[in-house]
Amino acid sequence: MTYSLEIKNLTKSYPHSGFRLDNVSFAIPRGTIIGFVGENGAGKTTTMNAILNTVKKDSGSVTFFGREMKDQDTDLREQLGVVFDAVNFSGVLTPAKLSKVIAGVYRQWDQEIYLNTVARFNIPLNTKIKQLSRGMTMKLALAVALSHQPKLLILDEATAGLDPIVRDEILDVFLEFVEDESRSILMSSHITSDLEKIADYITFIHQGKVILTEKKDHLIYEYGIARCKSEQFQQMDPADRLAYRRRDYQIDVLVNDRRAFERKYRDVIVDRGTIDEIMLLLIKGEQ
Amino acid sequence: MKGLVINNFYSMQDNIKLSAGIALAVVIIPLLATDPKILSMIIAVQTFVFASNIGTSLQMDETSKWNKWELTLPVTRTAIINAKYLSFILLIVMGLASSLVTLLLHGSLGRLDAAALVHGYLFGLQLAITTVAIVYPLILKLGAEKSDVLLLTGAGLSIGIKMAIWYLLYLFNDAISFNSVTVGIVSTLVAVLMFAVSYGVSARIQRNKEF
Repeated sequence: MTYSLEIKNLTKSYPHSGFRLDNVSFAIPRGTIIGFVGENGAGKTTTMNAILNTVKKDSGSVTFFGREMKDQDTDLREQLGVVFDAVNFSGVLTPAKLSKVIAGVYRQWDQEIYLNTVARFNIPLNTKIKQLSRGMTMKLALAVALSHQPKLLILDEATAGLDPIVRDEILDVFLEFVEDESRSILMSSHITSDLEKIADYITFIHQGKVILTEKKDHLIYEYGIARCKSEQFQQMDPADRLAYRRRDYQIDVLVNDRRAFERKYRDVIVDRGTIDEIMLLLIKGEQ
Repeated sequence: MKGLVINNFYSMQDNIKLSAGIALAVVIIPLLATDPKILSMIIAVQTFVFASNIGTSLQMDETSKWNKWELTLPVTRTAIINAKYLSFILLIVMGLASSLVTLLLHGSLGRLDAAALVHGYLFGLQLAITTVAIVYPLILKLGAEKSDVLLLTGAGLSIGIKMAIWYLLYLFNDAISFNSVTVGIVSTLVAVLMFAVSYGVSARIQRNKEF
């Protein structure tokens, strides 16, 4: 399998903070979308920053298309499209002027793709960015990120604060982007329903550590949440559970093979879990 | 790098328009005065006024977090600093260009004083170059929210540096005055040197800065 991005044992700490990225490792196979999820402060943005060299990593390796990216590797950054959670352009620019700025930076800039994407998103070309809505500005950031035909999109909370209609529009664009199987997306998001729609893999991060990377379909169709009574839980083999959480009248147990678990514990009800529920159990549950 | 320079100028465009307005408005002031020092001061103001916008572009970069996002573009950190310093040079050139209006107007009226002109240009250049040289690395290190204070401090320091240079020259030649051409030339050369050092310091800060 070839990877667009491979992160191995990435660590990063800050002098006046107890937070630390602790040996973060995961990889993005070509042609796939990876959802990167975790609670606020889990380390998603720090990981993104360390990947993109906006902060310096303490140790570990980050390789794009098999190469470590140094400051002088501008050809590698030519292959990346990046959208952060804020609009990173001066508010006094218009989308038309912005294209002149960006066209002066990317060798592969394609003005036709930009104009088509801007038109598709109904973004007015001559309105100042500060007068555009958040939805419009995020769509503009995406249009910029797509118009130099990158091979990897890195999106840090790019759909945060957007209404479901705009999000749906953007998610369609992401799916079209990876249709060509040489392209990939790393997308951090709190909105796990978005990731359920488009992601191929989900990586969970908690307190600076990656706690699980799994195929999304596996999480949804193979994993399960067993709703146990106290005595059922007591009789359960600890090796059969990934995490559990005590509720008022039951104990929710995360299992990684729902059907096998049902065969073994015939009197226990096992539901399919959503990404949200699985994340809650992994993060807030006990092991 | 071209795109980065264009971005700097787009970010400053409203302030550049304001500076152009000020530079043109002050053209008439020397017409109302007889003292050639006034012409000198106006030339200096016109040369400096565009460079005083240095903080605007940096504030916009920081507010929009462009300075973080631009690191993901296919440019090196050094190229980002190169674009900034090229933009500063262009701002100073714009200031010099705006002063040509004063030159043309006063020349057409036969009221040009060569000594006042030379003093005005040297003072304006020294003020603009030294201020930029002092302020930009500080903004890069301390953050753009303090840019107004830093700009005033930088302008004050640049006048202080000129006074210090005059004092040093005065120790060797007590006939030399603060407004002499020699003080102006030496101050401007020191300013150029400071600009070169400032570039090196800024490039070093940028190489190690985390966003």
